[in-house]
Amino acid sequence: MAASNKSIKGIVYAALFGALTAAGAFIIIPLPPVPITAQTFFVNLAAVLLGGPLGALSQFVYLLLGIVGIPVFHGGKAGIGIIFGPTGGYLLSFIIAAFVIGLISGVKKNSGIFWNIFAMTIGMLIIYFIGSLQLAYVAKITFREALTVGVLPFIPGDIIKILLAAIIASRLKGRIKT
Amino acid sequence: MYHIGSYIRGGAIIYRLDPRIKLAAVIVLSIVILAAKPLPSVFLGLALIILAFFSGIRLRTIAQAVKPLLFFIVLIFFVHALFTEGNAFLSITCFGLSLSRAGLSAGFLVTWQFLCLILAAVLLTMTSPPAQIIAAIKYYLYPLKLLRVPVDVIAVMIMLALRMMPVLLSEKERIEIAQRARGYNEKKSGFILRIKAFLSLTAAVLLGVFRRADELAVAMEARNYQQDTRTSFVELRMVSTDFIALFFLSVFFFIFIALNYCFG
Repeated sequence: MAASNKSIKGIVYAALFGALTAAGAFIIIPLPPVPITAQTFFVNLAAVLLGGPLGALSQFVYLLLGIVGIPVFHGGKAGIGIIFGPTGGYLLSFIIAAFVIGLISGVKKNSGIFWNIFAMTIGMLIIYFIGSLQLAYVAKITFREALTVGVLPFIPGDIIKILLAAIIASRLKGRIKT
Repeated sequence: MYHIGSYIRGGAIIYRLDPRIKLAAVIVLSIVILAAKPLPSVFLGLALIILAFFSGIRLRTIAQAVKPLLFFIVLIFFVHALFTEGNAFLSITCFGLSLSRAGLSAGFLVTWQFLCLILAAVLLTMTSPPAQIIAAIKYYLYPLKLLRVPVDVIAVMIMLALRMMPVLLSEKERIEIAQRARGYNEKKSGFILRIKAFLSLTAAVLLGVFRRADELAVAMEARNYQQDTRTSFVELRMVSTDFIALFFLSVFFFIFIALNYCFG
């Protein structure tokens, strides 16, 4: 009974974080040079709070929401076309990044704020790498050009998001017992 | 967030259509609309509005669904209008921004496409009860079962996520009102205070929705929710109207794609 209780809670929380990431696409901060959304903020948070497998599941749910046709991708887009498009790699990498961040964060039993910042940074690097790989492949540009277009403008915003996510995560840690 | 989880009872044909057809139509629409040229997009949007009219959903209901996204819509319009390259006919020198004809049309096009997507999603969720949408999602995810993916669980999770979006918004509004009631004034606050207020807002909203999630988990367990293969009281069966609808939808999308090539 205890085991099944655990997983029902896990299911509900993963769905919740899927919805949060979706809502994150609507939170736009018009920052120069490019407007940033709160999606990766919730990717980081889901991974640290839920752990690797559930964090990844929550991002899978998020992608499916978009594929089903709900406009939850950046800029109010939806559809499987976005996944295969130039920016789809960044979305697909959310799943892997959430998994890895959750794993790294879980290595330490009481992961502090700095350890989580480290885990989230690794996760962002994974998102950058996979996203740029697909961008370079689909848009037929070199990997370096893909980095300049698809990563460089987003770095300042992502640093802020990592810091905020780490602070919030340390405040809420221990609140979720899945 | 628009109240996408809300099903409205009605008697039009679209309500009785097989949810698999409706879901497939939304998925196809979400793919083709992004490649659509301006004129075919207008055509597609008008078709959706006519469909909404015949399904008996009032314009006011749709407006209510779009209203919470208004700020977002205006924002994407301006992002596209201002950042698209083109011959500027109006430039605001002090911000280094310029408005071009290409930018304006790009802004209108993107906004229109976004509205079409919302309208399609709203039509789907307003005319099909949640259980039917779950059944349809399950049907399309079925091949993944061979890879040992827990399809039933994922279908339920998608529905839960859909239902939670309006909850997130109402929770955020509730906390914002509470903050203001305690004397927080966004306009008169400094940068540090704003960051602090943002952090406590986010933490409070998350705590609130966590509580709701806990309650939901308990409620599901109390009703003895099982995760392995589930039976459903929704049995999907295609009848003649469904095949007719499928035929017309295929013709419609075919014409649309043809139009898209002609006016390109």
